[in-house]
Amino acid sequence: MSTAMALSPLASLAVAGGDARLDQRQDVQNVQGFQNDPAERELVRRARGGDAAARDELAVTHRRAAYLLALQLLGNRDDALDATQDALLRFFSTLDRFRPEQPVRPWLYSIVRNRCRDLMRRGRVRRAEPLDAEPERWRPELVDSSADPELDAERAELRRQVFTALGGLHREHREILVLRDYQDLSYQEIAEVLRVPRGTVMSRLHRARKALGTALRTAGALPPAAKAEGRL
Amino acid sequence: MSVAAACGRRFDEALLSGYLDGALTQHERQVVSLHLEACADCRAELDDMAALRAAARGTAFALPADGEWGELPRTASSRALRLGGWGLLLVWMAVVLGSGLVELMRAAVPAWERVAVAGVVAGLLLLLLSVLVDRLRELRTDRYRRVQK
Repeated sequence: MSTAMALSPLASLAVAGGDARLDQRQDVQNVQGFQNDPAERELVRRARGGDAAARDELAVTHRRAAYLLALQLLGNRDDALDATQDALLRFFSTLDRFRPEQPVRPWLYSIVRNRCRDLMRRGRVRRAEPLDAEPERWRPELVDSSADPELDAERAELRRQVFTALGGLHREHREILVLRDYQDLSYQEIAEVLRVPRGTVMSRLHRARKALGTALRTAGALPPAAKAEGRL
Repeated sequence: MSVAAACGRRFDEALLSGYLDGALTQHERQVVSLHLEACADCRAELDDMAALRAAARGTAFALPADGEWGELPRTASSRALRLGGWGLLLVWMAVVLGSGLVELMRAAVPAWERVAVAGVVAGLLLLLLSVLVDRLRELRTDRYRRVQK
């Protein structure tokens, strides 16, 4: 791809902040699934044997990742905390059916995702209000900052708008966008969590990205899709 | 794989996402790359997707403070104790309420007092029963039981 290609204003915002246009990771990373850590395997063995310290360590190690996934799926920190606690309880109550040689994260993510689905289906999610009406609950923090405050503000606003639009998407689209773009899982890892063929991941993800773009345009957060001539 | 597109694209549109994520085979990547050289529409779409992905990746969320996590997951022994507690409570209620009701029927009290006490007790039992029914229904429809590797 030519480096001389023109970028849309939106893409320029990302690139100006140092974000690469394309994923620079090796393709092999997208083929691999979750990797099993020998230390984690040992921890699971001990936890299955009733070692309370091992259970505590497993919980502390994974609760942040589980919480972030729940928060990104539910959009509300209280619900996310509840879902995380429930998921951890479920995880430990099903530990006897878990094979220690398997990595913990896909199992736990599946439980978190199921718990979030249940909460949404039962209408127990406290996400009735738009996210931007709950600044104290939805508190994204800037990861990086440049010397340009205006650019920082624009990027922060885009992040807020993207996350808000995510909440309005169909559950399937939201899930796959969260797993790929927020959690940075590979296609293989997403296939493991969602229990779908790897080929389905790419097509569903693409539909989800298009739906997100449409939602942002409908909300006025993005300009209407421009004709190619206008971009060049 | 071939999909008709206004821009002349001859591959599945989803490959654009695969291209963005570095998830294509070498052949697929070459096909998409060649098309992008010539198609400003697809380049623009790819740019927008890349920007939205960058926005998502750049979003960080506040984590709960250490004190907010609540208790750590219960062990099998604590679950067994809880189950035993429920069982004992039910037995106690059955014995106490049963003997109380028998005493009430034997006692020389006006009928309206018997009805009033029986109504309160029946109401409490119905409430307890509703909780138990909900718990049992949750157990039966629990999707997590099937979550396995």
